[in-house]
Amino acid sequence: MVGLPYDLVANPLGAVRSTFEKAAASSGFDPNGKDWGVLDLFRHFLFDQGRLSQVPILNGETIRWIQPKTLVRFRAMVQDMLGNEFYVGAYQDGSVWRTNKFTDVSQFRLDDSSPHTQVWERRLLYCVPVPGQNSWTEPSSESVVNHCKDFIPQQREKRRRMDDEAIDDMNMLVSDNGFQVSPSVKKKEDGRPSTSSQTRDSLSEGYCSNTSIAPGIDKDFLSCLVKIYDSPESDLKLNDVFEFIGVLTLDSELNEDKDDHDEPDNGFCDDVMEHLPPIKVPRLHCLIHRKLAAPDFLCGSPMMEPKPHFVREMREVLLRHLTVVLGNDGIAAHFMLLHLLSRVHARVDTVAVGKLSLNLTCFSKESAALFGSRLSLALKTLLPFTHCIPLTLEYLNSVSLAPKKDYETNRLVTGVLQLAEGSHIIIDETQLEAGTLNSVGMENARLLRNLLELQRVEYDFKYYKMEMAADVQLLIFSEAKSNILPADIVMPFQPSSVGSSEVVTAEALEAWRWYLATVKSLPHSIESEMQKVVENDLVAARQTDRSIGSHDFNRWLTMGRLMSLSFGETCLSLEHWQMVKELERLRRERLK
Amino acid sequence: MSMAKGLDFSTDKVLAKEFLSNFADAIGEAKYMNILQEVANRKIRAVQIDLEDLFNYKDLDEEFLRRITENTRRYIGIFAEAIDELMPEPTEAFTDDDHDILMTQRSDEGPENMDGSDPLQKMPPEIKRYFEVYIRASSKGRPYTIREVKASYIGQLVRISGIVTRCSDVKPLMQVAVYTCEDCGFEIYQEVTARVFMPLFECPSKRCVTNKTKGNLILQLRASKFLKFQEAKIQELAEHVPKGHIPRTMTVHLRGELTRKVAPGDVIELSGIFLPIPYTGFRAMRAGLVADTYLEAMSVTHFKKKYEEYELRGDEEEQIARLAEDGDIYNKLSRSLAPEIFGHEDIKKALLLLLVGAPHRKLKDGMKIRGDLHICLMGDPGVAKSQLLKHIINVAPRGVYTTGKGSSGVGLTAAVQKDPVTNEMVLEGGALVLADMGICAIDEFDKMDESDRTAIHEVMEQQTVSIAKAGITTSLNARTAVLAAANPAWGRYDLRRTPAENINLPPALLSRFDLLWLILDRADLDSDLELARHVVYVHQNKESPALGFTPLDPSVLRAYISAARRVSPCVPRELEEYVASAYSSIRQEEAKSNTPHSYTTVRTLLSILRISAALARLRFSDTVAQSDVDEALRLMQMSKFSLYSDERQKSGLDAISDIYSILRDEAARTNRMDVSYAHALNWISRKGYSEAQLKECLEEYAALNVWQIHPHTFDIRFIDA
Repeated sequence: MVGLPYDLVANPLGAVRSTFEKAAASSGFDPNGKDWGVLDLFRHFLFDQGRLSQVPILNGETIRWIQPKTLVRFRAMVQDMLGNEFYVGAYQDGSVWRTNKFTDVSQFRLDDSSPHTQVWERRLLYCVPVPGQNSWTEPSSESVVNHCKDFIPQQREKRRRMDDEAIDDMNMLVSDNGFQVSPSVKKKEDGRPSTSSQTRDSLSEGYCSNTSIAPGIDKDFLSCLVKIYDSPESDLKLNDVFEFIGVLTLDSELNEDKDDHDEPDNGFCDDVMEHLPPIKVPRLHCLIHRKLAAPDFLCGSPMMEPKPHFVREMREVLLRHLTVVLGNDGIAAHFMLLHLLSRVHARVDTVAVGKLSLNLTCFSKESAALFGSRLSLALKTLLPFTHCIPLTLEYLNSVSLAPKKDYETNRLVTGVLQLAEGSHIIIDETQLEAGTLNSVGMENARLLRNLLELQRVEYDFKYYKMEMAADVQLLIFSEAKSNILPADIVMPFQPSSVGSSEVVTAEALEAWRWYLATVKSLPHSIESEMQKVVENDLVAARQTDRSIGSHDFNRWLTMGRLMSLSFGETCLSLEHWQMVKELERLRRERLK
Repeated sequence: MSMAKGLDFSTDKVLAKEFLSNFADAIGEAKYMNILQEVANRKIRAVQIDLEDLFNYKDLDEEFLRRITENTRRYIGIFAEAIDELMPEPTEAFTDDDHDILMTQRSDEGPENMDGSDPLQKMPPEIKRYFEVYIRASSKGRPYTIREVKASYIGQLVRISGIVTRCSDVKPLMQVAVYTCEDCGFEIYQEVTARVFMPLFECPSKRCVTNKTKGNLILQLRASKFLKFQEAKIQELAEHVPKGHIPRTMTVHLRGELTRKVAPGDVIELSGIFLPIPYTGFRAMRAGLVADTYLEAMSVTHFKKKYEEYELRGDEEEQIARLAEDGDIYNKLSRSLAPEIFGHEDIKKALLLLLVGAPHRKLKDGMKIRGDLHICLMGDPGVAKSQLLKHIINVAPRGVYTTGKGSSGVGLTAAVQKDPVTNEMVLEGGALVLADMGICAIDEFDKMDESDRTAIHEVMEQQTVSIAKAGITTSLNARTAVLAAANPAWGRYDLRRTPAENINLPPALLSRFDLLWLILDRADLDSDLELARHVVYVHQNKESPALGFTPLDPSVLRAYISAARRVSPCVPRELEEYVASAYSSIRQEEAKSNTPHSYTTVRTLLSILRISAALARLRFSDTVAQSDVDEALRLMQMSKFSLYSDERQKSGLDAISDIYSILRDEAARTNRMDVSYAHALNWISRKGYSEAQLKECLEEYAALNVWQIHPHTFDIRFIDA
């Protein structure tokens, strides 16, 4: 494209407005809130022209550098949905249509007498960094910093002053009427006196020193209120991980709204503004969003097609690594590899097909501490999102595992089990001691059990519960078979050496991450001859042992699938099926 | 332009007046004039205008109706003005309250006060009104979910359903503020339309303005008009929330007579006006970019959850009619119950009949005969008993799932408990009482507390729970169908012991169940292969294997069953004889064989009648047909077979009927009327029967005209499935 009128990264709103005005000027314009072509403009710029990498990533670090009203990328999980918001989307300024889409404040003062205002709606999503996200998934922010540092916001300064004057006018107007409305500027600026002239000073002061643009923002936990336009509701689901590309507004312009809360008669205090003040939670007006899967978090150069011999080799190396981590227990390492590759790939009736939770037994407190920490460290470097739950009595009795709706604030209060798809949890049951569970503990135990058996979490909405599907890999350490947490595979763990942990190169780690992320999502099928073999094996097994049920059948088939995937193959072969049976045989032997 | 609009509204006021004075309801009464008379007599306050009435009004003006739905708030004012003009004189005397005394005073002073066109001094009509006007949306069609109310609905009348999550206290809301001026002594009125208002401080009356006295105004709380006001939050119902989303909420404003009607947890249907909250002061100046919205409630209805009150939607009625015409509805419905559970056709049929039930009968002497069917499922662990139970509870509009052990101290029946706060004895209903007029599924029935077990005898036959404890003697209704699931006495069914030993329940309790099924996990090669195939299929195709039919939606099932439950069939005279003879033959048979494990009593006879009646209900028939009785007998027979199957193999007689049922089931499963001899032989030999037995069976049933046998190939053709 030649001669873009606006820099889409530095001034996306300019492009939004100019395209709108162009569209509005054309005949037959219908201000209905639908996209008028600006999204295509951005899509073309970001993807077709490959400028996505120019857009800075928003996180606790970069927020200090990024200027408001610029284009940013934000990777986060949808934690709560705050419903929709109605706003004056388009209005006539004289005879010209103007739009407020993708912005919180109007460019021009809105005139009440304007005969034509169009109310449009947008959806609000409260997004947080993905729980348990490991640091290796974060792209380095250096480039972003450099990019932003030399961006000098000149034209904004002017507007800021205009706005301040407007505020001053307001203050005067209000106090003339005898209302003691204290401008919130006072609260915001740490109790500085709030006479109008000083307000302006302090504001521009804060503006000049870049670091204090967002003083209230938590550096490690940057949550964001994302405003979604245009896309259908079914696109964005709770707990999905997205990359939002949109316009950032975190300025204090909106803060003055707080004044309204001095109203004497404010029924419920569940206003969004109150609980998510813009000063703490920046707003992101989303232009484009895309769902992220595990491979999107790999930052190294994407590798080519998974070549069979290459995958095979990688499998061997990773297996060796896992064996070392697991104290030379080769069989446990095999099961661990399958476990790490598992994911729920279908839900049929009540069965979550593809889950493979692993229960390593025969731990003592000491060995759990040793191998547990080593294993959790190893998994941290391999998987994007990991968690560790020490299952103690107090923990069970006090923690809130399930998310819960708080009707006081009208927010969904997150729980430990509100997790993104593909998260990994280690539950250390060795720390559990005999004692009494209270009702919270019972409920939590039930929740964990449901998660293990059905891969579902019940969200507590007080008047009813809603089941949300989850896809979480669960690894349990216990002394003997865990009865509270019935895993798919119970595996007595028999380390033969304590072994020192080996040094792993960064390249190897990157390759393993790539292996795990890629192989996991390969398709899988069973040829009809192989189906016969499998069916006959299953029937034979059940004929000899009546206690074998559909649960075991499911496990074997899942293992078969994962086994062939681990070799990078998409079709179950007899060899791999035999391997599964052999593994199961070895496991059974250990169980005896 | 404003002139044109004004004219428009005045013509609409005329239309409103005409409607109010001329509308006649179904019995020809002038509905709204009657209401107005009652308002005039201070009997009621609310004037509720039903849009449905407007729709049915003889001089329906569709444009007028549309204008009302799209600009409801304005039309409330128009109707109020119309009512002002129509208000009749009171026909009854009532005592004056403060308000009336003030009003008389005002009208006495009126003439001297009228110093011209000062609008603030003119009394707003609102202050004189005793009534409140509500416009109610038509209750036809499905209410919206909160999600569906979009920006385009702003200002319109909508009907939505939801659950109340929060309620504020009821507070007074100023509607008309009245001031008196210290200088000129005039009353000044200020109408308040928003939740906040800017009080007046300077007297705006002509006298004060011309004298430049800046008269101090004093707010007269007593003279001002207040309205009751309550704010509530409603949330989407769980079933309306798309997968992976969070229920939406909406603010509701309830005024006047609508306050104190809802409490948190209520499932309600609201009609109201969807409005933006007008911002005041600073926020409004600030470009007014974002608008909060709320629903100004116009009517509140609480949701019902019983079969009897289940309201059919338009399309459902059609669907049911279509289903009813289909001859195979009995099979179709029963297969749609828990479609993911393979097999168990007869059990599912029994469960369907449990859902449908038979009508209750009340004899002349006051004795009640229950219509609810009770079913007990007994079987090895892991044969999907609990799954069946839970599925049935999901289909039933009112169902309670509990385990015999119960989780609370209240248990199954009822308990008297001491309230920890007030120390009063309170009666708390258990699961059976909560499931009144519904279905109570009790898992782990055999592990029930002894106290509950005694009480359940009464529940199952008399359908009441009696309490005589701590000075409270009472009897609670528990008109519920009991669906129980129990494990055999030793965890697994022990084939070496007799059924009575395996079933760990006293005969007195067992006889109260209409049907008793034993589900055994047999070492059966067929079923193992079936299971293996199923699992492999699921893993291969990521879905359940095709069922060979599309199961009906639970909502359709529910609708059909609720429609069926409205029918109350009776047994025609000519069938009485047939039932009686069937019953006596069962008794005879039992007397002949000296098996100790049969409980054929009068209760059995009642069971037959109940099951037949339920079958007739499914056909929407007012009379029980012979085929219904036959099917009832067959079900009972099958239920017995499931219990005494080991003996059936020993006695040659039962083998024949078993072979028949195998063949029939297989034919039904494959949906064919023809079964080849080779196939038939294949099937029965797997179940351990000989060819001789098959031949015997073929002859015997051919004689009964159940099927035709090809003379040479011995192929079977069912005459009527």
